[in-house]
Amino acid sequence: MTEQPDQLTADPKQGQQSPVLVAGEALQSWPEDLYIPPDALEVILEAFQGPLDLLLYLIRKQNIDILDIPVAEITRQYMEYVELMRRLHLDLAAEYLVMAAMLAEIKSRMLLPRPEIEDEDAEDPRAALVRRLQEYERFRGAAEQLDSRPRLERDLYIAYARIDDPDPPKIESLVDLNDLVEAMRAAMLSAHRRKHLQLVPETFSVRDRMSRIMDRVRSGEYVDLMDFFDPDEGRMGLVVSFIAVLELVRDGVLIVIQNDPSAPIHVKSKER
Amino acid sequence: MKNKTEISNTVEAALFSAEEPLSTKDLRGMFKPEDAPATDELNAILDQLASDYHGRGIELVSVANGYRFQTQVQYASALRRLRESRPPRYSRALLETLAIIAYRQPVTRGDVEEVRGVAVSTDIMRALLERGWVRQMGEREVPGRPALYGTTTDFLEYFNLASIQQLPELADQRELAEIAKDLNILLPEPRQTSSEEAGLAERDSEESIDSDENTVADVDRPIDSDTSTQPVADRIG
Repeated sequence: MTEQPDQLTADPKQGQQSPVLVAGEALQSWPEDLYIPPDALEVILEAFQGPLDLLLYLIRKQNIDILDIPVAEITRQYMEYVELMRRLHLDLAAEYLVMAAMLAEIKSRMLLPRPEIEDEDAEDPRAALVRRLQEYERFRGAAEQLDSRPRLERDLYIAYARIDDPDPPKIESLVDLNDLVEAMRAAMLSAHRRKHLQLVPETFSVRDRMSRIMDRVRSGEYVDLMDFFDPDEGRMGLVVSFIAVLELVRDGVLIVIQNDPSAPIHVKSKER
Repeated sequence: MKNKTEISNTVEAALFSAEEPLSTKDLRGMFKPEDAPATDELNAILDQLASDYHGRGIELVSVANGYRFQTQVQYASALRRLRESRPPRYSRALLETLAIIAYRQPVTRGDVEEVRGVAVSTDIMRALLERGWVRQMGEREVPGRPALYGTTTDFLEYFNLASIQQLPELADQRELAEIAKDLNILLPEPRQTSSEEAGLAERDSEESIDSDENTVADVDRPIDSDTSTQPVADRIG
């Protein structure tokens, strides 16, 4: 490693501008061959999208002859890092190793004398690798193009005027008292079914229940009347809720509405 | 009967108050049957509307699911300052995965891994699925029945595309072949689609880019291949 074949930055003294820092110091050059210094391994694994990406970089940047790698040397270097890789990004590291192995295989196959016969099938061992590199580069370019397209949230915003459109009941009609009583009866019935419910003596205050109902409808939304009937509270709780609703309606602060005779009954604060 | 101005105004109001793109079907459907404009009438109205907005801060464009008003690209930086929000950035790994799915769909994770040379992380697939850009389209009929993925209309809308054919062409394959030549490599002819992939349309090749006469689903008018989502006015010249 006497040569520094390729400076990462235009001016090596301005090392802080180098994109790759190793232990706080700028990596001044890419390693020769595919040798990766231990400290740089993690950085390189993160900077590149994989062995194909790294190979492409090396090809482009250094015009490296990937097919002239000293096989024995590169294999030895790579094996030194197997342990290290195991502790780092195992998934990634494995793929880099596979690539190293492939390079070694290519090299060794090229050293073998080619059989004179069956020439037609004998493909240059490098071809498959080149094909993969080529394919990867096309999609790497496609990804860059995709990224540079005008897109929502960055370059374009949907221009639209929001229409406030609170969904629920559109028709407000007064509720028949019979329906209200029927709702009450249904709630009572479901409370009655819980026969072995142990009623813990608890006092229910109509006043307190009224303010809780008002809290609930404060935002102006429609609230299902049944929300205020909690069967777990037993008869007493239901009665208190019912009276509280009636009190509030009488006071003119709550309206009770129903879209059609069989629809759920909703309550709503009258102020809104 | 409504007159043309009323129809045009109604269309404009509908598009302007819609958060999602509206298709011509949506637009026609909002009129009473006797008032609904004919398809070519509606198209003419949309073209006119688009040209009315020409040179303004917003434009009317056609994207995957229909038409929408959107802000002009050149004002994006000002709008970003106004919103004080940083646009989301996507990693190279995610974009490469997305690009492979978009050009090659339907693909399996294995196909993506084959191209990228690295395992596709579960996080990336989950992010793409959750973002609604990618969906599972089926399973490949091979052992293990791996899931096949493709892109969605949400993907097209997000990237301002009316159809998948509007994606720019993939780089010419020869570019790398030249590198190979530099390295003195004898490059064999690119292998044909392997048998396991037979029947699955390859999307990346130039031929499929040419076949852009196809109309886009949900947008019932032809789309020019290389104009991306230009304002409708530009398309009619």
